[in-house]
Formats: sequence, C-alpha cells, structure tokens
Amino acid sequence: MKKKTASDALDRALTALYQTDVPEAYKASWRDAVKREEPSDMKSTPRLAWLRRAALPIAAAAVLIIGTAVTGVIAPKTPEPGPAADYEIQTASAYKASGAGDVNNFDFADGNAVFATPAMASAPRGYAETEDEAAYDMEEAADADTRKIVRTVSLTIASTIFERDYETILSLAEAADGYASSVSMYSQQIDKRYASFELRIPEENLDSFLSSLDGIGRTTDRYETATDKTTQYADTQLRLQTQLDKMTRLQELLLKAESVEDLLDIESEIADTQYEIDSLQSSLNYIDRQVDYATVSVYLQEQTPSDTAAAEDITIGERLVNGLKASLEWLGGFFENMLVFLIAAAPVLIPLIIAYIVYRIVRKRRKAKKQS
Amino acid sequence: MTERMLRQAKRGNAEAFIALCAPFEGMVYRHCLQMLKIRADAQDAAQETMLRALRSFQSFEERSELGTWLYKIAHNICLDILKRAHRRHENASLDKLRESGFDPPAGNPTPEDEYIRGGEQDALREAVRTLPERQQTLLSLRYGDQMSYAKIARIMKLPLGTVKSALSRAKEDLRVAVQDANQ
Repeated sequence: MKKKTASDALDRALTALYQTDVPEAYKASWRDAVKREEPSDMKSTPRLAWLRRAALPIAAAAVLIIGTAVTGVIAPKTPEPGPAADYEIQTASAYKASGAGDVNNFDFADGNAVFATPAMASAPRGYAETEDEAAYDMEEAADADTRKIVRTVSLTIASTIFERDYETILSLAEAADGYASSVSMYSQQIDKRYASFELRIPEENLDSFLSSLDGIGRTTDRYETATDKTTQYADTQLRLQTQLDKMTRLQELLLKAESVEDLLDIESEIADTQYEIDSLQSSLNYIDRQVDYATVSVYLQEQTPSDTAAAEDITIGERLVNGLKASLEWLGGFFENMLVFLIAAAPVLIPLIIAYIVYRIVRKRRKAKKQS
Repeated sequence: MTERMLRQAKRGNAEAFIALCAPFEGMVYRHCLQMLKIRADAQDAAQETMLRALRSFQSFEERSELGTWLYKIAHNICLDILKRAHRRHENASLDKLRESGFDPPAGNPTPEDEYIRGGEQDALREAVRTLPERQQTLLSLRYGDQMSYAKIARIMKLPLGTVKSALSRAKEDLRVAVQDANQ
C-alpha cells in the first residue's frame, strides 16, 4: 500500500516535471522550416515523384532492350567459317544445274557466280543425251529377263549442324559413286536455312547410301518408290527393232530405185524412220539411266534447338536438353546483340551519359551552396 | 511508421518526415527547454533539431528508434548552444531565469509538491538526466505527451512489454535517486 502510494506520488511528480505546454508557434514553425528545406524535386506528390524518378531508368532500360532487339533484327548472323560458307545465302539465291551435260557447274540465279562441289565434279558423263554419245547396247536390250526397276527415294532431314550435314551429304553421294544433279539452298530467316539435293546414286550402292544418311540429323520424312519399267522397256525395244528392220529395207530399196521421184520418196521415208529410231533409242537410254542410277531427293532443314525441343518424336530428355540449349542460345544472342548495340550506339550514348553526370554534379553543388 | 514513409522521408519528402517526427515534437521541445531553460531558445533548438534530422535522415538506421535518435540530436544541439553562450544553467539563479523568460512548471502547491518537498523536484530532474536516453524519451512521451503505453510502443517501434518494463525500471531508479537526495 505504501509502495503504491509512493508510485502514485512519483507519477504525479513526473507529470508535474514534464508538464510543459508545447507552443503552437514552434509546432508550426518547424513544419514550415522542414517544408522549405524540402528539395524542389520532392514537392510533387509521392506517386508522381516515384514516376519521375523511375522515368530515367525505365527509359534507359527501354532504349537498351529495343536497341538490342533491333540489333538482332538488322544484324543477320553470318554463317560459321567453313568450306560451305563461301557462298552467300542472305539473298535466298538458288543454285541450279546449268545443264544436263555440265552438271559440275552451278550458276546463281542471276548468273554471276559459279558453284561446284566435289561430288558434282566427279559426276559421270556417260548418260548425255546427244546422238553421238548414245550407244545403245542391243545385246543388253535383248536380255528380256532383266527387270527394269526405277527406284526413287525422297527424304526430309532436320539438322542442327546445317553446314556440316550439307557437306556430309555431298561427300556420301561421292563415296557411293553418285553425283548431285541439282543442289539449291536458301534461307528464310537467320538460323533457318534449307537445302534441296537431287542425287543420282548407282542402284547397287543405293541401300548402303541410304543407311549412311541415317547418321545425319534427324529424318522426319521418308518416301520410297520402285516403278517397274520392264514392259515399257520391252515394248520400246520391239518398236525400235521394227524401225531398224524398216530402215534396212528402205536402204535396200534405195539402191534399187530407178527414178528420181522414187529416190526422193525413199529418202524422205528413211529420214522419218531415222527420227523414230533416235526417239525410241533415247527412251531406252532414259529408262536405263533411271534404272542404273536411283534418284534420291534430300530436303535438308536447319533446325534450332528450340525447334527440336518442340519435336514430339524425340525423348523427353532430349527435348529438355534442347529446350535448355535454346534458352541459353537465346540469352547468349541477346547479350551479344546488346553488346553490339552498346558499341554501335556508343558515339551517342557516351556524350549523353557525360552530359547527365555533369548535370547531376552541377545540380548537387548548387543545392549544397543553397543549403549552406 | 511505415517502411514507405521512411523511404520517402529518406529521399527528402517533407510530408513523410513531418508525419514521422510529429509524435516526438513535444519530447524534443521539453528536452530542449530542460537543458536551455529559456522558451525562445528551446523553441529555436527544437526547430533546429528537426531540420538537422531532416538533412541527415538518410543516415538514420531503421533498426534504431526515431525518438531516441531525435533526442540525441536535440541534446547535442543544446550542448552546442550552451557551449557557445558559455551558459552554465546550473549556476543561473531562478530570478535571472525568470527575467529571461524561464517558466518553471507547477507553481501552486499540489500533492506531488507535498511529496517532493524543497529540492526534491530538482533532485528528480537531475535523476532524470542520469537515465539512459531511451528511458528519458519514454518518460517524456508518457508524462509530457500523456501517451498510452500502446501508442509509445507503436511510434517507438518497441514491444509493449519493453515499454512497460523500461518505464517501470526508470521510475524505480528515480525513486531511489529522490530518496537518496532527501536523506
């Protein structure tokens, strides 16, 4: 009880000690002084002040991101150095064979450049269609038991190592004693190139060649046909034989001709028959060529890791790895583009940054001077 | 005291700073008055305390107590003023102080005057000065501004129990000090 009384007394004593009215003038004056002291850039409302302070970093970030994005668009990625990187692809130029008798020379569409590959250079020339070179082997044609099967194969290959696979396909064709009758390559966008090959592979090497292609990229589509041309070949042979017999008879008649009129008629008939013989022989040569050399059409597609990450015919592990690769590639590309942009924009950015720093220093000094 | 207000005040926003420091304006003024004895000087010193706090608010560490921080600033400013003026208030006579505007609290006899006879109030004042800054701040808020424990705890960012125990300890120390002075 005594302690309680003493405590109450102390409370009253303390209240009395601290009992001091705080002057209203002081309350108002320190507030005014603080408001006067407030930096001028803080006088706006807090929300707007936040916006104002954030404006510069946001603008800088926007310039950096937009600049990086624009740099990525206007600066196409150049192909990696290598044997196949010597020709331009940006213009989506298509290569095409300049002619059946000169398959090792490929001209650009505009005719300015020549492109050749080893496989093409070694292409056999024994199948040219000229009359002089046509050497139809009657003995072979007489072999009625020989089946005339024309094989064609069409493949679509997705490749993440485009240039290496491009070269490998041509090398494999050469190794199989084949050749490329046409090659074209074009690019729709960066890292999205396409190449189309029409390869002629000896029939006896076709299966081994197709097996070797399995090691390249990822085959997404395969189509194979075998057309039996035996009947057509035999018919053509019979028609040719008939024409040859007719030619023999006409030449005999020519020797026996007695009048000029008969002579002219027989020569006209001989010319027509010769034309027919040539035509039929050409057909037989064509079939032989088709049979001896299978046609393999390869469509090579360049694929980025992000493409393969979306593919459904690979394992989830491969998709995950490819997805990660795609992200890292994108990130690397982004920073690469940012670096290019920063260096490219340095002549503009550096003076701007210097001007801003000078402005800040001058402003700070003025403020310090004002406060002092 | 919200974090947002602290951030704004640190960036120099006057409104935020005023909102944070207004609860301590009485405590600052009273401390200045206790040290300087003269209302006008106390008013100037208290205002200077607030301005100096505003200028150096960026250095204020959020983990410390704003009231104690302001108390220290006020204390240092008052010491500077006293040094400059060579003013030794311990030796100043009450009459001189009254002439220069000093208005000592509570002139009429009250129950507490009965309790604190003679020099007891001076002894109490001196005893208060020996207390740690935090306890002096708490006493000023409690008895000067008549704040509740809860409000003190809120503005000082202290647990309620800490406020209660600190004030209890302060009163116990004061009681001993006053008793010693009376003996």
